[in-house]
Amino acid sequence: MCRFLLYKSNSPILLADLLTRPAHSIIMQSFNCKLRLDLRRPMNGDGFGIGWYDEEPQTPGCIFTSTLPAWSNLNLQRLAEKIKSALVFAHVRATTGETATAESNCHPWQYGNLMWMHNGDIAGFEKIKRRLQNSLSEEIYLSIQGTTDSEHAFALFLNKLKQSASGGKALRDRTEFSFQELRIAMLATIAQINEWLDDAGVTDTSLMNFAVTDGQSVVCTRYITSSEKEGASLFYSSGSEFRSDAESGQYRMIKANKREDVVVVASEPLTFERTDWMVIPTNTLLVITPKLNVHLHPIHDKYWNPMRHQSTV
Amino acid sequence: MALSHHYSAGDDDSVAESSVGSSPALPQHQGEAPETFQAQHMQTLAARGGAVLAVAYSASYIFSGTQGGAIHAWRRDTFRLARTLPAHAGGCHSLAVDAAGGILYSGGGDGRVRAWDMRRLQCLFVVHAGVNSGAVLALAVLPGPGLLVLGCQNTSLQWFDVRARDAAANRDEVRRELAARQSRFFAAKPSGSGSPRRSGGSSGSDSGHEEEEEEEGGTEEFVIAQQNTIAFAHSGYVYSLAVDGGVVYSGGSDGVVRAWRLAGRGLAPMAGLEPATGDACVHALVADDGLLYAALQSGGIDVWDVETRQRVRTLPAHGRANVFALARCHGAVVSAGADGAVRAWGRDQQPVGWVARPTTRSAALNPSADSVLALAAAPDGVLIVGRADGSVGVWDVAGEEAAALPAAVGSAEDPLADRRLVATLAQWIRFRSVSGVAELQPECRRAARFLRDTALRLGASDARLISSTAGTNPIVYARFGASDDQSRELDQTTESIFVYGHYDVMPAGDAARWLSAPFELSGRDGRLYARGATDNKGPVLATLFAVAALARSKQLPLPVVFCIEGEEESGSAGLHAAVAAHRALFGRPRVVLLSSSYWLGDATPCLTYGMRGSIRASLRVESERQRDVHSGVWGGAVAEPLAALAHVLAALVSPAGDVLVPGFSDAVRPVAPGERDAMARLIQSAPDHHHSPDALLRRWRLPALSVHHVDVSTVAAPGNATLVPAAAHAALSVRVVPDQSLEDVAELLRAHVTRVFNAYTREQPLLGDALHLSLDVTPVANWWLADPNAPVFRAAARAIREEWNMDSDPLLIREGGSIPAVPWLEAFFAPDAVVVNLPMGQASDNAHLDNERISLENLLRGRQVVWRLLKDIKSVLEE
Repeated sequence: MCRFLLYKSNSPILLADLLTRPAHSIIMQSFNCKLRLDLRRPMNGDGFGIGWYDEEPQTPGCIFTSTLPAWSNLNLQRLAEKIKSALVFAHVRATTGETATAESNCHPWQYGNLMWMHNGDIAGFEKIKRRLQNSLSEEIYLSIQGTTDSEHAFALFLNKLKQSASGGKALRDRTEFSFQELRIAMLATIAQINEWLDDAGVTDTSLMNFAVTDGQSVVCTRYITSSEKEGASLFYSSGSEFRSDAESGQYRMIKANKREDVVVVASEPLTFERTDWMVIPTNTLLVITPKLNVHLHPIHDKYWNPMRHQSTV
Repeated sequence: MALSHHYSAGDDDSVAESSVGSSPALPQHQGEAPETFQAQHMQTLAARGGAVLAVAYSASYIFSGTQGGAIHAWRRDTFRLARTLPAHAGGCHSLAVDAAGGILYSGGGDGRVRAWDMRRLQCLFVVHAGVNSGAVLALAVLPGPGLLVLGCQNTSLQWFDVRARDAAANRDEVRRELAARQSRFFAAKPSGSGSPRRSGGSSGSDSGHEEEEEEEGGTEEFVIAQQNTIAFAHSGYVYSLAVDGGVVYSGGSDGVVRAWRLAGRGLAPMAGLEPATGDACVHALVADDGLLYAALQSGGIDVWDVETRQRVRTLPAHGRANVFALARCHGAVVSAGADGAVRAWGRDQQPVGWVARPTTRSAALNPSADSVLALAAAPDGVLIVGRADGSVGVWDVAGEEAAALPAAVGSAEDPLADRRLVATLAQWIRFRSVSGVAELQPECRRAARFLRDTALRLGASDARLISSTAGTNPIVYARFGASDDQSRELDQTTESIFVYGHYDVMPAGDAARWLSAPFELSGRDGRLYARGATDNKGPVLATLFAVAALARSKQLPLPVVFCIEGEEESGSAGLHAAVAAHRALFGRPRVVLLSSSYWLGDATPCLTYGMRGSIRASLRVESERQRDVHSGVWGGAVAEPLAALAHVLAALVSPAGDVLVPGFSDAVRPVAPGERDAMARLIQSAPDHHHSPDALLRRWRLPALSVHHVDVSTVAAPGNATLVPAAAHAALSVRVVPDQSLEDVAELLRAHVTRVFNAYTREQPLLGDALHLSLDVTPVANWWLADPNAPVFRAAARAIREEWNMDSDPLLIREGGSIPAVPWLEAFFAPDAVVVNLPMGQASDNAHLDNERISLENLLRGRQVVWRLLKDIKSVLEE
């Protein structure tokens, strides 16, 4: 069980304004998360990672990972005070299965221009891991560096994206994808995992809050293999600017322009401003388009339940 | 990565043609397509609370919903802020009006809709959208079935049955539902995280309700039930709603427009419009003439035929800037966007005019303060424009109609009367009628002709320019006949009302200090700014409109003659001669009416019954050497004109401000014991005026002598600090009061100055040169004091009191200044005439200074005061 954060805007933000300074920043969430389903210990101390894209258009992002807890990494503090980006992925990790605390197991991962992270776990993953690996193209299989269910889900996503893509260009060389392509591949990934889990007779619930980006569009899910329970928490906030109030120092989503210039998606709200944060309904896919429109699509499969109880936060 | 690369330089047509730096308040209608859509700026209203996200109107108010969550209610007649309604946390995103029901609905970032009584400006009830709805971004009212439709951030469409709300509501259920929404997370906010009422934008008027707290004062609350919700009505935020022919159209950030029909007491999907392509949010919708206009993020406007459900075309409207708002307005569709532009489209979808041109390029690329976010158009041709900078622009789009002076100018029967008055004033202001400047004499003449023509168009029986002294500006004469005998020519026996005023103005002074062009009327925050707005063009025109309205409705009991001069700021040169020469034109005035002074303070209406007189004096001390000399060479051996002048000036006024001229105050009427108390009472009645009673006595009741300037500008090098000048000059003035005689005071001053000067030169050691004094003392204006208990004054006080709904009489005040014409006219038409000075303007009007202004409310009510006074003047005079 982990916590993640993603941010997209049309002008760069200092990472510190996202990662370290807000009242309930991802760093705070790394040692004092409030909304995790598994509340036995509020720690996400098994490493962290941040990925970001710079202003060079259509080039791969950069990733910095560490197995240190996010709260004790001085380099993270230093980098956050200097790096500006308009598209950021950030993740703090709490291992779930048997996977090692290793940098290769830290989210996010990248492949070409694509970047991926996951909050949750695929129950009984070991029962489908071999099958998943066998389904992959050679190139994608060889790209896997770690051992986690999350990274394997990414590989499966890449395979689905490759299968649905037209044209001959290698996936790794493509610099952009349409948000529709990413959405379709994401849905196919979840559907494939479900199918294999069913085949393997896995009945425990899996939590699949996935996020992927090509540096332009973002697609993420709040998903659970249950028609009753709620998925792992996931929120979004949008407005014209995310910044701290000059007087109080509190961060706010400013809505001064009737326009989404900034979208933040996070496992837990970064601030305690109620009206700034929206719940992503369970089993819903969220898209942030290149022009910063937010789309929400219900995932209509056997776990879809329009009457599912929705808690506020 | 930034998206700014989507905009590359030079690919934006509408920005390229923009007039950079043009103020939205001063639109420049540049030639291109024929512009049949004319917009006249009326007012720009600014209030705290951040960006204006939504606007609406009622018969009496303009409403603006702000980023901070407040709704401002501005009076439509005076543009004054009537009330700030604390409405929503997280911003007020949408407004909708049920005109028949008299209800304004507001939708907020807090997921609530508030219903407001538009007359009393009170919250009637609150509707909570379904759980996790996010902001209520769009609202629409279906008045027939009594449905309120909400477009929400969580992509849902919801509706609320306003009519059946009480029947359907179960208060316990509502309470349980709201309690279940309490949030553990947000309730656990750390202390010191700020007030829960702070909600974005600036502070101050912000208000909101952070948690699902109990409504104050037991305001009824409702919750929208799940069966009244269409979840995922769009795949994106539902940004816009429009209603046309019983069909509801919705537009979202998914770029799709959907149609919904009434089914039972709710909505059901209809075949939608063709799916949109591309990544372009639909920000606004408006239906007009069988077409549906959709404002797009891409800068275009899609036009749909709602019958065939086909897209007719896409208008390239705002370059690549977001189109944020649409309104149906005066036979056109008006669009506005992030480029700051507001423009109109005809029924044939051709551009027909600009209300505001695109602002700077940078603003268009980075939506910012220039963005126009909201539009609303009232049926009487008023367009309301809400901007991201927090301002609300109000435009008159009635075109010629409002500016024209027409058949029915009347306060009661003409709904456009107020706008016509302001439009006419705006035209008149443009003439730079500064008197005493030779090159502006043609402007003065044009201003005079404009007033004459205006009087004729307003129905004057006679209007003409009269002139006497060569080289002075003409007087505008106009006559409105008594309603019982309109065409009767006047002679010296005909009772009449004499209106005095002036159309000349002071120079604008330092243009850099003005916030808008001095000779363009600019409406801001309920005030009208321009040179001449308050002194004296505004009050003159208001009086003219009042008289014209009485004449039009056949209620004018006596003939009214206007004598509007063009030399008031230059000592009323030629006035006496002209009036004397044309005496018969003016009849036998029983009242001389003018509005040429200001309230004491800004809050309480006043009536002026006294003014001081004035004497101008000029002193010049000259050495017979007639040239400057070097002080290092000649210093100590020559007479010093400036030192002599200083000695004389020092002998005029004591440090305490008392005039030292012997005998000067002998004729001053002693201050009666009650007078100081009266001043104290006045100050109490004008709470915004911060002066002491003694200061008021000194300003109005006691004489004064002031030195205006001293200079050596007659010498070669005034800035040279090593020369002894050959001459020095001083200008001063005396303000005189009852019962001082102008001539006596002038003589005393002459004698005193001469005496002091002579004594000074007598004591000088024998120097190489002698000093000479030239002294010019000119009486300018006599003092004026009326009897405030005279019937006409009591009637004027009553008119003010009634017009302003006052509990007590207006304040009776005097003025420290002087108007030469007033005592002269009173004397000339004695013994019949009573002068009444009805001040329309406020103390803060800045007459003669930069940013001169008059409050629109004062102007309109001033007109009504004159109307009320003159309507019954005959019976008053018969008292």
